[in-house]
Amino acid sequence: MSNNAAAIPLRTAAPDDPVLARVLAAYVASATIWLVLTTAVGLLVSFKFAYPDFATTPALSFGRLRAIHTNGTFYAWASQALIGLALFIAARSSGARLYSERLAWISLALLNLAAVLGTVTLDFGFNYGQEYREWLWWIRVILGLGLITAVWNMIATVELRDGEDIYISNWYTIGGTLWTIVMVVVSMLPWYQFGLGQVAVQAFFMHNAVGLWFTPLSLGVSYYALPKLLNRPIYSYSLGVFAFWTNLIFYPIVGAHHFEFSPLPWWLQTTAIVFSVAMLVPVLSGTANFLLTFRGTHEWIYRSPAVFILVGVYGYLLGSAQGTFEAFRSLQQLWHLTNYTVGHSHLTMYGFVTFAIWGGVYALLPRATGKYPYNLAMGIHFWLSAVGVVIYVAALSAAGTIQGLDWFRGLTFIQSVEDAAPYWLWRSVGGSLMFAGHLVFAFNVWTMTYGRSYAALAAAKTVPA
Amino acid sequence: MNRSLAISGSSTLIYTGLAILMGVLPGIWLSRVPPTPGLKPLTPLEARGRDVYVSEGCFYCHTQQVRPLSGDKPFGRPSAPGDYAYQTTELLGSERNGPDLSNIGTRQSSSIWQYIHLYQPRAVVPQSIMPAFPWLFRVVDKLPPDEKAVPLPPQFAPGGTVIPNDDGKALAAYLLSLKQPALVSTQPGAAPLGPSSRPLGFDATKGAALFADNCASCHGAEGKGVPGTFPPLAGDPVVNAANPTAHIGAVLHGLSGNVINGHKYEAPMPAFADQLSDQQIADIIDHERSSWGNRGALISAADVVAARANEPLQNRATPPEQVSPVAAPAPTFDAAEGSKLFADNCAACHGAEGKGVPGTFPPLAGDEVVNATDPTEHISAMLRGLSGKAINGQKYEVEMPPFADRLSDQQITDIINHERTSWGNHGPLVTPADITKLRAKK
Repeated sequence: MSNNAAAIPLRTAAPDDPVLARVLAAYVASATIWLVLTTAVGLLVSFKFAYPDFATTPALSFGRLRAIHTNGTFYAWASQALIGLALFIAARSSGARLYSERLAWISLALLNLAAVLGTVTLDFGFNYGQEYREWLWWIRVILGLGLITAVWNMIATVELRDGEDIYISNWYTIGGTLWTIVMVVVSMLPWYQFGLGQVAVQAFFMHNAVGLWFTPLSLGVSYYALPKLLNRPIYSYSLGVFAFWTNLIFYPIVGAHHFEFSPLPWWLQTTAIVFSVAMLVPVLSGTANFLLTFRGTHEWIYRSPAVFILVGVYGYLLGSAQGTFEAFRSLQQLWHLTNYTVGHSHLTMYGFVTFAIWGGVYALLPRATGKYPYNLAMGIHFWLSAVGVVIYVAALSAAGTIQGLDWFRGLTFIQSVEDAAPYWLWRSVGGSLMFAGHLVFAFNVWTMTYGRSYAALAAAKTVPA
Repeated sequence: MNRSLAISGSSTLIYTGLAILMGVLPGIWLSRVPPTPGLKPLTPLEARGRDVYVSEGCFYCHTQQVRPLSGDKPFGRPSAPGDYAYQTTELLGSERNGPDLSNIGTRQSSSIWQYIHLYQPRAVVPQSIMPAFPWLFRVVDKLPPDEKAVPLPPQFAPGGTVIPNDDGKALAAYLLSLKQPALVSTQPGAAPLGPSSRPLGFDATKGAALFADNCASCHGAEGKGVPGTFPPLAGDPVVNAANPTAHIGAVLHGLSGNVINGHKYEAPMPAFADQLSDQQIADIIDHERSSWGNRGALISAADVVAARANEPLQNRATPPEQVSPVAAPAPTFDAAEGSKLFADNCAACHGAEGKGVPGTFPPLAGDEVVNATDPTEHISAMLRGLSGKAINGQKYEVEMPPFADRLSDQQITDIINHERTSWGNHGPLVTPADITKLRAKK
């Protein structure tokens, strides 16, 4: 790897691996369609807070669309994009070809089949009734098969590597996918989940679905995309390995902090709080590793896709640290069950995961296809989404705090609804900006894949050191 | 190969171990928690209702977990592990855009209210943001013989008779089945008060809050009810009656099929005897009797104790120093009028919140005279004014003007009673007769 920063590669050369280019393009394009679709649903749902009588039909009702929004963004948009990037990274970081193109198509087909079936059945009112595992069990089997075929492909591709070492990104992407397969199985078996027992399993599952799927995959993508964009190695390989193991050991224990003050055993809740604090170890290690990799680049990265990853890193730091503090009982009794939680989930799933994915897409898709997006369009996408999510999170954090204080002061429940209403409108404003950003992103994906490239112009532009 | 095996294999092994430890084992163990005594399994209809609850995503905005926190008190007692023994799918939820439903079958036991609210939440709670569920109902031209029409207010009625369909009936049955069994042996009413309980007085803030939590969803925050379905309390004869027996009885034991002002109300009113303490019922009744233009005689917790014991209130021995609500000069007051008069005549110095101005105008919140059982000093300060008085070691130089010539006895009564029921004050109330007496005493 060259250390000459002036040579930030904006190659116009034809891509050398058409298979990999095809696969990544298809995964990203498919994911992007789901992004636009499911966030349109999210936007509609947000307006229902202000206009509850708008679109009063079963298929467009809040209770059904909310699940479509969350599951669609999780298991269609983010999962497809991350698996596509992970397959690309497995091949490129190993200096190898993809183990099997056919397997990659099978994975994508299974993931899409699960997403379509999940979306349609939810809209007809078939809901398992457990957050983030709402899809019916046989649809989650299809999702699991998609993950199994994907991780098989990743491992087999890494086995084709020329050297001994396995690049750190693959630790995260392969590990995260394997753990998620275990998680899908554990959360699906019905024989030990009754009443409060189901609450315990849900507590475990709910946080694992985020922390051992999206987190490691997003970090894995960033560990590869960032050095490519900055043209310098990651600050510390061993810090990345350290964060990998601590994330694996601490994260599965924090789930019960979603049910504080509930009838779940108090010691289970306390254990979860202790390990929520322990989560600062992998979070700070990971953040430091990325920020130290960025060091000295602040002048020009603002015109590079690296800025998406920078926001993602800060989203990871802020969102995770917020999660640690929220877990404290003193703060949880104010914020739990309020809209503050929804703000937190968007700070993490959007401010961290989605921005990291965008950084990865803008960094790697052009390297695969040889086609580049318009710089201006990339900038517009960045600012719409960044400003949008800041408004969104700020509005819901304020709304949640007010709701919590209202309950604490013994005001009537409906008072807390009225007091939150103006902030819900601001949430819709933020959401509209985010959605507009997604449309621009979709255009950019088009230029990077099947549409007309901006490559000729991009090539002329050099980046100062 | 070895390295890849180490990473994939060992990390997956570690994760599987943690998944068993933190997910599977707690799941197995807690699945065996025995049900809370008195908890009933769901009937097939209620179980179907839970499926509707799940498929319409009710659990995204309604929790079913009451936490041992002050803010959760309106929803019931703190949830116990055994409360969920029959709840698979568990529906504890993660967000409250609507109130907790753990005990909704007790808190809102009227199926008529549930139907109206499901058909169009804003028909009963104007500020509600809950979605409407018209697809749980059907509109018929002619009411089938064994069905009951949902009595929608005219502006929300679709034209035609609305009846719940099977899903709607199941959902309502499920909601009404959500009742927390009591954790301790039930005593009718918490801590009944003896006859030597404190003198008549009530906390207007508490009364308003209790009313909002327990009554407003049917009777409306402004006591207007829902025309034809839930009776208005503003101007109601029972609420304004000097004898409170019927009023207390309705709150304690509920009502159904009652005829008020020539209109028959079908929706049953739930009984609150087991849900609220005597003091809470007294606060609610006094709130109703002093709001929205009502001027009913106020009651005390002792009256509720007596009514629980079925003791006719008239026969009750009244402690001599206590003003009886029934024996003639029952204090009544109009809270809105009192608050308005206070704002016009007193708030400029004493502050709208009764806090006064430190060192210049004395606070009324927590003031000894305002809370004194004997109202003589309070009344005479109103009638004749004050100057140079020392309160709590602080001498107030600014003169308080006399109001004897400016306000009627009724107006002074309303102001004094407003002061005595606001900002945490709990002074016994006064009657216009008390004012007349002290005016004469000059």
